[in-house]
Amino acid sequence: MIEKGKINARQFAILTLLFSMGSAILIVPSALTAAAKQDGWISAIVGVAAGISLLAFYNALGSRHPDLTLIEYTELLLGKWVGKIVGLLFFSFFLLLSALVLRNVGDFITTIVMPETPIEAVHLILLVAIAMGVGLGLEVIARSAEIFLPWVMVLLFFLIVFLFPQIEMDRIQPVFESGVKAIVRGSLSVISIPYLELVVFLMIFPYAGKPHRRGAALIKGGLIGGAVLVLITMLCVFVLGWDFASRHTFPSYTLAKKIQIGEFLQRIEVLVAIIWFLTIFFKLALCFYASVLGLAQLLKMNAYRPLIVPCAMIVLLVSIVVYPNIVYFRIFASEIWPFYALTIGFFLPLLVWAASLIRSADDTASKSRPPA
Amino acid sequence: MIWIVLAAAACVVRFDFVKLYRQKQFKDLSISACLLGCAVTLFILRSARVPIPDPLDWINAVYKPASKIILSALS
Repeated sequence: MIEKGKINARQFAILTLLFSMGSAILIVPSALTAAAKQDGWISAIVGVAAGISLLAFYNALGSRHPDLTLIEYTELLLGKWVGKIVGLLFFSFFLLLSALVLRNVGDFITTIVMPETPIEAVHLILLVAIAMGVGLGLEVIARSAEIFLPWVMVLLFFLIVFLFPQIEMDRIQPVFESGVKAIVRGSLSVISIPYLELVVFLMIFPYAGKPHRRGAALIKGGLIGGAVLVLITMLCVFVLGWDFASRHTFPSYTLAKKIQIGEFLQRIEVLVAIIWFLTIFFKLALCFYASVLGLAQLLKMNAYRPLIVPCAMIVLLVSIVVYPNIVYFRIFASEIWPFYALTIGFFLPLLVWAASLIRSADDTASKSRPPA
Repeated sequence: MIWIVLAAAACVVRFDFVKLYRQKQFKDLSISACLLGCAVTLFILRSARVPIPDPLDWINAVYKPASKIILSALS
């Protein structure tokens, strides 16, 4: 194994939580309310439920080879050529995901906080931090996640509590007006961002504490992250109304802008933007780590360190090239991404899992056959 | 942008590649050098205003038909 780091189950759960809150909290409320209008929160619940079953599947797959990462056992199970091609597909997914997440942060900062800054500058600075983090290894990323978690939770708590006076229960009615089809369509966006992207965690599964505790940690983190998503979507509908939330690119930021307690607690939205920076940082760190580690394992290298700077440059380039404007991105995220993520995040792992079952059935059959 | 990239590439060659060469890890060195070469080439092309192909376009091309069918079934 190239990676010698070890994290425990608690850190694994925290990483899952931060990852699933990641860019989802920025993008998803808008997509949910656009599809299901004021029933966006029902869509979110359906999506989270489907996501948790997906996590149970990932746990089942990861537990079949508890000491190998996804790309390692893909190559083992599917043979040298097919395994390498499928592994390359996984790697390209992780790399593309890193570029898209980076672009999300860049869009957020250049839209909201510093509109006159060229987006490449934001990407460059964040990538330097990510490259340093990944160079220091998985343990360091996990420990810093443990340090930042209380800040994220406290800021989330303030966001929710300070918005209580502005909730209008009427905005959620009429309930279930959109119908099942629209709710399912909305839940596609929650399933694809973040749950199908959690296939990335199959790359760090083998390093995450005792094997029997990994599944519970994964599901715990995914559940809490999903609960936060549902809560934020509900707040978007309650406080902003579904039409406003679906029109905004980052409705959760607009939510934070609305915090006003008396005359003294206002315009604290950038403090809340810190939640988004932190969670997206960890999502990006994990995606980039998975892609660099995956490529190193695919090419049977000694270490992944030499790959960090070249891959970071490629991520930087792809993140700028990847879409010309936000409209392209919104259409892509709601119409194409669920299906691409479904192929790489569900169907390919399903193939690997099936191969694993067939192989072990073959093995037990050949073991129980009496020697010729 | 391109200057930063070239400077970073120079730093990588000076610090990382020399170390890899001395440790005789030629496979790691060659793979990393290939990737670095690709990245720098793409950046140079971009600064020469050559249009770089967009991976999302390829994904769009592959998944658009399936997306249309499934999403229209859900409307």
